[in-house]
This record gives sequence, C-alpha cells and structure tokens, in this order.
Amino acid sequence: MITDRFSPNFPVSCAQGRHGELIIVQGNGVRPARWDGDGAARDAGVDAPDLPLDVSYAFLPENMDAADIPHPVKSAPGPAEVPETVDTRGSISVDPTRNYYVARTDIYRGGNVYYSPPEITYTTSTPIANGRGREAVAQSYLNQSAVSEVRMVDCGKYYPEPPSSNLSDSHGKGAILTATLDAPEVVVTPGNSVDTGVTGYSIISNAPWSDEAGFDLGLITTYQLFPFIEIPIEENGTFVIAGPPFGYWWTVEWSTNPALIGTRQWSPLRGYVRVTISGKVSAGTGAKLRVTGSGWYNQEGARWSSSAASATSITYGQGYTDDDDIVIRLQGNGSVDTTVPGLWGPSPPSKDIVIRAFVGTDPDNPGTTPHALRSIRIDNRGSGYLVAPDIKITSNTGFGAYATCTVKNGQIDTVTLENKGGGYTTPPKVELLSGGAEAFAVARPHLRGKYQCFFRNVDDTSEDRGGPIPSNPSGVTEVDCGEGATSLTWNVPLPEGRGKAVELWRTTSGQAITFYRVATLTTANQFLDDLTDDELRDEEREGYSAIPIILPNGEINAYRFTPPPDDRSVVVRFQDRHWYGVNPAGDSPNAVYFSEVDEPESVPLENELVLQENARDADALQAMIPYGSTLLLMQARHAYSLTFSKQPLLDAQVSPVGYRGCMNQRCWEIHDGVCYIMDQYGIYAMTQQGQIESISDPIENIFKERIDFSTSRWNFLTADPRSQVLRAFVAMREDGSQGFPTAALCYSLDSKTWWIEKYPSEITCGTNARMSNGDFRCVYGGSSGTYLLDEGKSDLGRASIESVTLTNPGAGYKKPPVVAAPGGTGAMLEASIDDEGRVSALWVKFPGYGYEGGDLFISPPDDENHPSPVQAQGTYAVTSADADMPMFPVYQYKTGNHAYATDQDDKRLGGDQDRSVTITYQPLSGQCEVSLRTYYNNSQVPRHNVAYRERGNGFVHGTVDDAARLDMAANTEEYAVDSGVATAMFSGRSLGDIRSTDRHVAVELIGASKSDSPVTFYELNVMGAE
Amino acid sequence: MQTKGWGGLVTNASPYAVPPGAATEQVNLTNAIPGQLSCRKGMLPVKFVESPPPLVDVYPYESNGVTKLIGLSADGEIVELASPAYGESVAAVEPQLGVLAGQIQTSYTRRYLDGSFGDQIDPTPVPPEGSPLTNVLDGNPASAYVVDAESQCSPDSIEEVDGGSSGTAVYRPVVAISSLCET
Repeated sequence: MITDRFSPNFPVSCAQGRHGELIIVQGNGVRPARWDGDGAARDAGVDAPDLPLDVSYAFLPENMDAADIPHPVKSAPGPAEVPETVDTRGSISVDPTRNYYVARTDIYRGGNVYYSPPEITYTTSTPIANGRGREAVAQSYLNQSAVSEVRMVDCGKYYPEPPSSNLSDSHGKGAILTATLDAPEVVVTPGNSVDTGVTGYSIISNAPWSDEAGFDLGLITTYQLFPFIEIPIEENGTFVIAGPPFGYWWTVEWSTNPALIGTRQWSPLRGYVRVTISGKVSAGTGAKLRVTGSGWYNQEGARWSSSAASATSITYGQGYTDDDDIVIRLQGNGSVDTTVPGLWGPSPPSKDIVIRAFVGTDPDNPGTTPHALRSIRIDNRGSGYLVAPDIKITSNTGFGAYATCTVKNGQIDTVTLENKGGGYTTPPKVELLSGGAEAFAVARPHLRGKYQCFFRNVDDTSEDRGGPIPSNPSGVTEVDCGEGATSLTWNVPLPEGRGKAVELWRTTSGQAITFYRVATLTTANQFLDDLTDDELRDEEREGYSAIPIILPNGEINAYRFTPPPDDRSVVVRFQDRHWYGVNPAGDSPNAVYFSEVDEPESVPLENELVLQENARDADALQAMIPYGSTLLLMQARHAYSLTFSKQPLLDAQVSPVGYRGCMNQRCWEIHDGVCYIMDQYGIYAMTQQGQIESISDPIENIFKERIDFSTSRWNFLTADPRSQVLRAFVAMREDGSQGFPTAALCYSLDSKTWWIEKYPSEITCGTNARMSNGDFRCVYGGSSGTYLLDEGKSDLGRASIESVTLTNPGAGYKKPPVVAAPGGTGAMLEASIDDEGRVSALWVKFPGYGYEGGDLFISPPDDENHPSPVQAQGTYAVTSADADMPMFPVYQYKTGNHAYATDQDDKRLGGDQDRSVTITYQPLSGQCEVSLRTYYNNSQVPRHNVAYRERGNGFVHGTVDDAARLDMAANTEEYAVDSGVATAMFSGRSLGDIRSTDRHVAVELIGASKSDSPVTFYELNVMGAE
Repeated sequence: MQTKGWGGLVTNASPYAVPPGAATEQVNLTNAIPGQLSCRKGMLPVKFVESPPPLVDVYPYESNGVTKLIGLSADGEIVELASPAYGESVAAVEPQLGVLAGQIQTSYTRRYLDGSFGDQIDPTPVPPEGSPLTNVLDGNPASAYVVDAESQCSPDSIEEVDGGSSGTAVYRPVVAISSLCET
C-alpha cells in the first residue's frame, strides 16, 4: 500500500514528473500525495513553518525604539540569552560582541619590480583567542611586476580587532646608487665641510631705507667703505658683538627717527650689535658669518644710514645638518660702548636685520652654484631584480636628470645617465623604484547592519528525484546587528510530517534580495551562526545555496514552494509543469493552478489562471487534457485551449475551441493523434486543429435516456491500441450500479460501428500500460483486480447469476412477467410464457454481478380475467462472491424491424410465405448453441413456439423457450466440410388488409460463446423481408 | 432482408429505419473486423507481483524501465502493482443444473432442465477441451465432473466421489486448481 489517505468514493488523478515522482490528487480536501516509485507516498509539498522567527537582542539597535521590538530588551550589552526550549516559533539571539574578519584587501600602492607575488599576512596586537577563529589568508597577484590585486582566500574570523596587512619583500632590493654633480672640486680646510658646514647666508630682512629716513635723496652719497661684523654660529642665544675697532657699525641713529640704524663712519669707538641666533639644533661648530654693511650718508646732517650689504661665510665649520634652521637676527644696540647700553635704546624688532644660515647640503643655500649631474655610481648592485627598476632622481634644487639601468643575474648591471638635468646645488637622491607595495585590510565585524532571516522545512527526497523539496519560508524576520555583532544563535522547531530537516537562511548585510543558506539542521534545533558575509556567499562552503526572493522578471522565487491545492481533483503534466484543476462543486470551479517548471509540488497561489466564462452558461471545469501543444480545459459543455510560451502568467492564451465538453477526467483518450472525448451528449473526436466530429450519433439516445449521469464521475473512456476499439464505460440507469459503470459503449475505429459490451464483474477503470513483455495494452481494473478485455477464454464472474429456477409457473399471464433479482448489478432476466398463461421458463440474458442468490421477483399476473391468477416464483443461484468464476461470454443481437411483402405488393404472396432465417456462421469445435428468436410487428416479446420441431436442418424449435436453437459445433459426421450455413424455417402470410397480420419482423440471435473460438456470424438473411 | 455487412448498433433511429445488418440491440458482439459479427473474447487476468485488490481507479507508472500500475482500491488505498503480466485463462464450464419435479432451471448459457416429468438433473456435459477435470465416471448419468482422485495431493482433496443420486445433491464440476497437484 502506498497510502490510505484517499477516499474510495472519488477517482484519483495522477501525473508523473520528470524525476519519476508521481503526484496523486483527489480533491475534496484530501492532501495530494507524492510517490517516488517505491515505498509509501508522502504529502505533496512540504508545509511551511507556522510562524516567523522571533528575535532577542542583547542590546538595543541604533535607531530602534524598544517599543518596536516585540520582546524585552536588555539595557546592558552582553550575550543574548538563548532559550532552553524551542516552541513552535523559532527565534534568533544576537551576540553583540565584536569580532572581525577581513572583508577584502585593497592595494593602494602597487610597488615595483616584484619577482613573485608577495605573501600577505594579517596581524593584530592581540591574537585570535576564540577557538572558532582562524587567520585570514589572501593571495596577491602581480601585473607587470607590480602588485595589482589581492584576493581573499579565507577572510578569517574572530579577530579581536581589525587586523593590518603586511606584504613580504619579494622584490629586488639592496642596490645603492649615488649621483655626482658636475661641479669643480672644492678644497676645504680642515674643520670645515662644504656639506655639513654653514656655507651660505641669505639676508631675509634688511635695515632701513632712505625713504624711511626722510632724507633728501639728492644729498645722499653712497658710502664706499663698508663696515662689517663677524658672528660665530655656535649656539642659540643673544649676544652683543662688537664691530672692529674704528670700524663702522651699526648703531641707532639719534635722529628723530629712532628706528634707523646707522653706522658711524669716523667714530673711534667700536660699534656693537645685539645678535640673536636661533634654530640651531645640531652640534655643528666653527661656522662664522661676516655681515658687511652698506649704506649712505648725508653730509649735511651727518646722518648715516646703512643696511647689510652682504652676509658671507668666513668659515664653514662642520657638523651642521639639514635640521638646522638657523636664523641670525641683528639689532642695533643703541650704544657705541658696551658699557653704556641703551644710549638711544634698542631698535624695534621690525627693523632688525635678519639673516638665514644654510648648511652646505641645503638646496636653498644661496651660496651654492647649481650644476648638472656628472654621473651615477653603483655602490651596491643589490639582488632580486628580475627586471630593470626605474630610477628615481629627486632633488629640492635641480631637475631633469633621468637615468636608466640594466639588470643581470638579478643585480643592477649598468646605469646610464640619459639626461644630466640641471640646477642641482646638491647631489640629488637616487633611488631604485623597488618594492613599496602597500595594501590595506578592510576589516568588518562578523555581522553588521541588518539581516533578513527565515527558516524553512525540507524533506529527504534525493537529488536524483528532484529533492530535497523545501517548504515556503517561515516569513522573513529582520535582525539588526547594529554596528557589529559576532554571531546569531538560531533556535528552530524541527518539522513534523514530510519535512525532515530545517534550513536556516539569511541575507548578507544590508540587502533583502538574495538569501543564503546558513545551515541545515536534522536533529539539533540550535545553531551558532557566525558566518561572515564572505563565508555566507562562498560557493565552496558546505551547504551553500542562494535563493533570490524574487526573480529579475518579478516572479516570486523563495515563496514558490506552496504545496499543491487539496481542492483540485485533477492533475496533468503539460510543458514541464503540473496543472491542477477541476473543482466543480467548490470554490473557483474554473480556476487552474500550475506548478513551477519541473517542480510539481510548487504551486504558489499566484500561479492561477481562471477561465473567463463568456458563454452565458454557468459551466465548470471537468477535465484537463494535455493535447499536443495545447492544454484543453474541458468544462461540461465547453472546451477551451490553453497555450503558453514560457510563463503562463505572462503569455498564456486561453481560447474557446468548441461547444462540447467532457464528463470527467477519465472520459478522454488520445489515439492516433486524435482526442476522443465523452461528454453528456455523446462521444466526439477532436483533432489538433480543433475540428470536432461527433461519432456517437447512432447511439445518441443512449446518452439521452439510459446513462445515469447522477454519479458520472466513474464513467471512463479507453482506446485500445491493439484492437482499435474505443470503450466508453458508463453506468446505465437500468443496471442500478449507483455510479460505477455497468456497460461499455464500444466503437470500432476501423469499422466505424458501435456495440455494447457487458461483463459479469465490475469494471471500474482502465488505462493503457506497458506489460512486462513490452506489449502496450489496455488494462482494466475491477472488483477482482485487473484484466485485459476481449482476451482469454472466458469471462470472470463475481456473484453472477449462473442459473435461475422456475419453481412455480404461476397462472394468469398474458405477457411475460418482469423478472428481477434483488441486489446486484446488471443482470438481465426474462420470462417466457406458454399458451396457457403460465410462465414456461425464466432466462438469463446477462448474468450481471454482485448478487447473493435467493428468490427472484416475478411480476404478478396481468390477466385480469383469469379466474385464479397465481404469481409465478423462482430462485436464482450465483457464482462465488469471493473468487472469479470463469463464465462463457453471452451475446445478443437484434435487428431492426424489416417489412414483409404483402399480397398487396404481390398477389402471389397471399399464400404461405417463406420466412426462413438463414445464418452464416463459423462452425465451432464444440457444442455451442445459438438461439434465434423472431419478433413480429415491433413486439418486445418473441414469438412463442407452438410445438417442438426438429427438421434436421440444425435448428430445433422447442416449447420451453421461444427460440429456434442451433448447435454451431462443426458437423464432423459428414465427409464434407461444414458449410456454416443453417436455416431456421418459418412461414406465414402477410395480408395487407388485415391489421394484425405479420408486417414486420426483427430477428434476434442470443447465446453464449462456449468454444475456444469466438462465435462469429457472417451473414443473416430473412426471407420475405425487405 | 440480407445483410451486406454488420452496421453495428443503431439505437438513435426508428426500429423500422434501421438498415439491414444494423442492430437495435448488440451486446458483446463486435464489429471490430469488418464484415463479421463476432462475440467478444473474455477477460484475461493481469497478474502482478502481488494480487491486486478490487480497484476503482488505475494509472500507469513507468520509471527507469519499470512498469507499474497505481490503483485506487475499493478500500481507499493507493496500491502499487508491479510487473504486469498476462495471467492464465481458464476455460469456463457449464453450470450444473438440477431441479425438482415441476421446476424448470435455466443457465445463463441458455441451457435448461425441465423437471416437468419428475426430478431431473443435468445430463452429462462434455468436458471442455484441455480441462484438468476428468470424467472418470463416464457413462454414469448421475455424475458430475469430478477430479481424478489419483491426481489429488492437497489436504482438502476429495476422497470420496458421490456421483449424486438426488436432485438436491449436485457436485460442481469445478475444483480449484490450487487444490490439485501438478503431477
């Protein structure tokens, strides 16, 4: 047994998927089932979890009010509490501590001449302590010997702080080049250095000018003799330095402009200058500055004014560095004698003479002469140079020098000064551009921002069967991890029923489009989720899977796994989708639902198409027929075709194709490319071009009058590919089956003719199937199992009437009484009466099935004038109800009424007329009688034989029944071959002017086929009839 | 009236307008072969690995080269029927008739036994060809078909054969094949 969920009161419908899975539906609220070819069936589709996840935070996310969170919020940071028990609603707890991983590593300086991609390491001040942590691993890539890219191999995790990245020095290194200026050789005395001595000075701010003195410039004479003063540059501080004796040096003018500084040309006294030295940081010593004055004087007023004409170096000294920023500030002392300070007061600071001192290598040194480069010298050839590095020449003074080099065996081989440049006051710095790549590790907390989370149930269907089959998501829950969190702890209820596991899904940070599978839980219901975004997206991760919530074209995706509806009683497969429909007595009777492609169990409610009823007729869908490129949607009285290209929701087209319908899903069959359909009006053929042709017109009245449509759901149609016979099994009203078919309306596709087949057991269903030997046969099911029809030596009866016994012939019958057996289905009984109004015998025209045996019902006598009418009685015996009883097939054939010619047609016919009936048959190997009965004048009762007759022509006319009997066994007593022709001799008159004369005759052949070969008739001739 | 072929069942017409060869009633006689009217054959059981229960609905199922039938049983169970194969066809036998005086009994094969002249039992029918049954009491007018006792080996084998001597004692000419030994 596959499943017992279905009711025996309704048919089921099955459709097989591409993975061999069989979807079985019945509608009426019964959950559809899926069967995979063995074992038990399961629910079709997997139920989604009942409720979405709940979230518990250990902190209040930013921009979120406590009132917005449906659970208590802790005020102090700390791990969230993980519930000990899991109810039907899953939950997520957030651990707000922060640990980091390396999201990516950016190259912001590619470096030069790397001979191999440098290794990248990540370091933190505090090592990874968490046992789940691991170091990040990255791989660098070179592009033309420069680092061009870093790809994360493993982003690592549980870094307690953002790590920094380090690149190994897998590049050429060690080479040293030195540039030489193209300058004359300088002889320097000991204790002086052109490099570390103070070799130049620059006057930054000079003494007053004539305009400030207010003199008449016409009276000014340039003074030719210049005083000077020498200032040692030894240390910072303020010093009073005397000029040379009888020399000339500044002092403060006594004039009305106290700001002026002047010299006294003829003063015998020394001039004194207050000097302030600042900015010296080195230990240099020995430098001496000479400041030579220049100026003018006004002879009339004997007023002089002067400025510093030059500042030159007397000695360079040595030990000074570029870090020195020596400034010498000269200030009029205001006195000619150190002993008399402040004679006139000091000059204001704004009038100081300010001189800047320059170390020899200082490019701003005004005392240096600019030069081009003469050469570049290789001091060290280095190693590891696979390619020639660029040479970088840098200087604060000159520019334009350009050099190239060659490498050999990983070393700098030659350096060529391609351009000597110019303006260099000091030798430029020469560098080989090697290494120098720098990378920046972009670290992030494991979790940061908002994540969308859900869980869903999945079953254990194997992949080759299209599994596992998931459910719809539980509903998306947003988890806000704020600026950082380490992990989420999932607690989810394990599924029941078909679901065998739970899948946890969430997004990466800050998006809600694509979900990634976190884990699949089969036994445990708790999972620590510390996956970083990169881990989550890593396709190599075990259990990785991604699913967009919606597809780019707007179709739903994650929510497409809705189980098939339980109110649709029909499922078919059409163009890689399963279609569910037919709910004639329920809601949306004209709605059909379709599955996702090759996912028969994914039937979202959105996948709905509704037949637009425009025929002013409240019709309902009864069947769905996949027919070539069309899905026929069959109502009871209307037919529609449905076609689509890719997505039915977008491009499905539904068009009416006919005003015929279908009785139910079992009432159609496709044979030789033609679809044969049975509706309440009959059976018709529909071609793929939509042409409809009724084929049941000859028996149309059977549909109108005899078929029981009250429970037509069990009627069915088959097309036997072997015999080319359509069989429409229908419940005939007279058979009282209460729904199940009792007869088959058969149509030969070859001869285009109809007949009825009846069987002595219940045939309830049929289908074409491949037998084990490869034959494709129509197999029927019924009360005792399965059969092939029109095969085998015998019928198989179940509780069928095998004999009837007339126990009391009764009296007073003018017409044969009605005979019936209570219970059971389909038996046809009849009685014959004799000339005295008694029942002469009871007959079984068809044995039916489902009877118990016992007394028969025989209708009372109908002769009202009979003095003592007696109701006849009889009994009947049946075959076993528990086992099939082989039975001979019985048959019956009756012609229409054929007119006799009368004496009005031909005077010669006024006498006895030969009415013999001749049959041509196939002689049989054994005893097999056929009864021939005649019905005159459209009578429903055969003509009774008055007397026993046996004329030696094969037919025997008895008195028990109303037939002339012929044993069709081949006559083996004669030498000649049996002709298979026999004549039942009858005669009579047909007088045209007598009303009751025999005017028409119908002939009936009835019997059982007992031989190994079936009873076969070739011809039937009725003498005298037209 | 001479048939020029068999026109099949024509019920949606006046019985006077039915052409020669066509029928107003045609049960179990087929026109599948043009020009002849043949009784249909019988019902051949289809066997499966397991015995099928009574079915009300059936569908084919094929997967990986395996053919099965899926059936809805009369009990509401979906059952799997594997490896459909042709079953054995068993020949039918005539029902044994037997009546008391004054009664008339008829079988579904339209044989009858008239008891008008006293207690009657069915005359000995001819054993069907190929039947496992043997008429060892051939010539005994009161006998029915019985099984050759030497060929019985099952526990419920018939040890004593009574040919029947009254109208109330009739032995059925059918014995379950399963109760017979294969020798």
